[in-house]
Amino acid sequence: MKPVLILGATSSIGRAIAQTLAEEGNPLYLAGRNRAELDRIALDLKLRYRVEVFVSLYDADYPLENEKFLRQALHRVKGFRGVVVGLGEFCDQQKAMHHFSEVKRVIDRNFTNVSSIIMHCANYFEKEKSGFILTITSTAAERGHRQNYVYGAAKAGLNLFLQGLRHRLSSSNVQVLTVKAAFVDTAKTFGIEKWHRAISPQELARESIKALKSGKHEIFVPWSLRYLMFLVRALPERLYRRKL
Amino acid sequence: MRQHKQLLSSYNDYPRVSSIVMRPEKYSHLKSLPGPVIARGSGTHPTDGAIHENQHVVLMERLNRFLSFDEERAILQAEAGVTVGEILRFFVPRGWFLPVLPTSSKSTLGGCVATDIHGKNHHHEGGFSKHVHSIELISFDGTAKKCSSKEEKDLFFATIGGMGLTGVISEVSLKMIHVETAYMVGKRQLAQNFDQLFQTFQEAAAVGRYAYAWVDCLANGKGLVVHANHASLQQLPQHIEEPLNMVGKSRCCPSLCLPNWVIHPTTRRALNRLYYQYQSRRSSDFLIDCSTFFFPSQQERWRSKKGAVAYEFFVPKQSAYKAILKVIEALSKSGFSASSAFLQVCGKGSEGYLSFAKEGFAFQFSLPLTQDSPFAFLNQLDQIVLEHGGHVCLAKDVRLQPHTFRSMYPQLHKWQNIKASCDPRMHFASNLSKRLELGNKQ
Repeated sequence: MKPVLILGATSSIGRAIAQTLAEEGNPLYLAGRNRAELDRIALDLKLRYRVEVFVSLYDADYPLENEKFLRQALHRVKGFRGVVVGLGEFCDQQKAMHHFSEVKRVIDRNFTNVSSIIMHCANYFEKEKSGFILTITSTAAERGHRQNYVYGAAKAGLNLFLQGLRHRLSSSNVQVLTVKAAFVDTAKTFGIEKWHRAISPQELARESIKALKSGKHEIFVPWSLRYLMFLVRALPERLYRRKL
Repeated sequence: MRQHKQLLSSYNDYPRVSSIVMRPEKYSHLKSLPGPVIARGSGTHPTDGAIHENQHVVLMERLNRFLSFDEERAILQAEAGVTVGEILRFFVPRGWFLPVLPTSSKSTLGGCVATDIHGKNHHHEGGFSKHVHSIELISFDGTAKKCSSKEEKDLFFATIGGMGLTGVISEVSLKMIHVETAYMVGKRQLAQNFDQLFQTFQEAAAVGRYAYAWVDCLANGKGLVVHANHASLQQLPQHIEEPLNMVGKSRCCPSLCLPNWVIHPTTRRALNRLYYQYQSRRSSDFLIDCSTFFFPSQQERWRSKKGAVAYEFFVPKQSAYKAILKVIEALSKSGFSASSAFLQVCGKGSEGYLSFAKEGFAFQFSLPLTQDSPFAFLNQLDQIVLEHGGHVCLAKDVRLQPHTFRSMYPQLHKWQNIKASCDPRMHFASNLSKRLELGNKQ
């Protein structure tokens, strides 16, 4: 069986998705920035689920290396069944309001560099005429909010990118799944106050893989947000422009 | 690493304090912890050893990776945040079992080492630490030290049962045991009074690898004695097709916050009587899956709004009967709504300087915190325990006084010497270490 490529495997979301996939017997190819962590996660997955796990260093901050990375990975394994993109980073809006360097960093990390690797993967899967691209994005992209519009803008760009890609790849049997997640309980969001319960990475992983198997294109996690987000999009912008 | 303030408490919701919590997700995060700090597993012990008021607490829950398993030597190496339930879930179907189990499936490996837990099989297998092959300890300067009973011996014996005060336990290697099935076969026996119960219990412990007794403290110590062994393949009935399949799910009982009049001794008595009646109608022999046996849904999680306070003590064999009977009598006279108690038998103790279990008996119960505080009463019990050569369990304690503690643990000065050498600046501290003045050398 061909492995699934997991980008950003050392993040808690990446690890949870890797676990869910391994539980079903999928071999994995973990890619991330921290070699020691990757090795630990690989040992864990091998021991728990007895699947084959490859690890490889991958830094999304160098988009020009992406083609080389994919080529080398494909040299090691015969091919990929699909790719899970767990890249991106929650950002500090306060900093991004005043420093352009921060805005650039956030947009690069969440959009530019991510779309680069997705592009290379998409070309590979298009050639193979099978595969899937599972990308985690955010509900912050549904509407510009004053608290996180920089992050939201980057994710919104990614959403549109994926939407277009989906249309392009629909004829070559490649599933492009966009997972729009609400607040996930990760290292970057630990302790941030929120008005609803943060979803656990495991919950997100389970829902994503379920959607993947049932051939969906776009889901919200938790699913109930689908209706709420419809409302958020439908409300006139005037309502958001209130003075605080 | 992000940190924020959060209300933390012991398993019994008392005391409840605000701490600054951090949650490392990568192993390297453990190497740069701000002090004073204490590591916290799942918080399944009713102790204040895993909380620290207005100071740092490290949540170990996401450092839960299995690292290696040597099938020949049966040694599992895992990070300290792995829970016992997780280990059973993955290893029982392969025929492996943990040598000693705590009462909650959510307990972490690190927590089991730090409190040197004693299971229902202490008379047979000893404490948890006896099966620990080695541990990795992160000291205050961020260096990782491997310790075992051979390497860094002193530090090892100070860490097992040391309530996490010698450093952060990051990895644990322990020896697993082999089982044929995931089922337990055993027997329940009823006892009308404490005399009979104590007698039956000693006999049961001689035949059973696992043994415990449920004691009704409010009815002069009548109760139920249970002993069990791992079922072999021959003992299983035909209809069970997968002998190593864990059918029972480990249940967890949410703590029930009840009004004071419900927690009244009268209700407790009535419920205890009902439970006894129910047990007397069940057949005495049983065959149940291991998670139902080891992690029953606990009926002992009643508490008032303020929480509850647990009490567990050990007494040596010679004076056990007298001491436990005295405690039961004191409890039934006191007017406190004591939960039903558990009696366990302990075998040879471990060499841990602060380890709890030695050769003798362990007895535990809990009291809800209502208007009249039970602390003065528990101090009286401390005296009874001390008179009979026993001591109180640190892993279940929130109220022991420093001077009583010092007379209960004679090896304390040795522990303090090691603490002073491995952690001179008190980088690792908790509410428990402050209350018992563990850092102050005598």
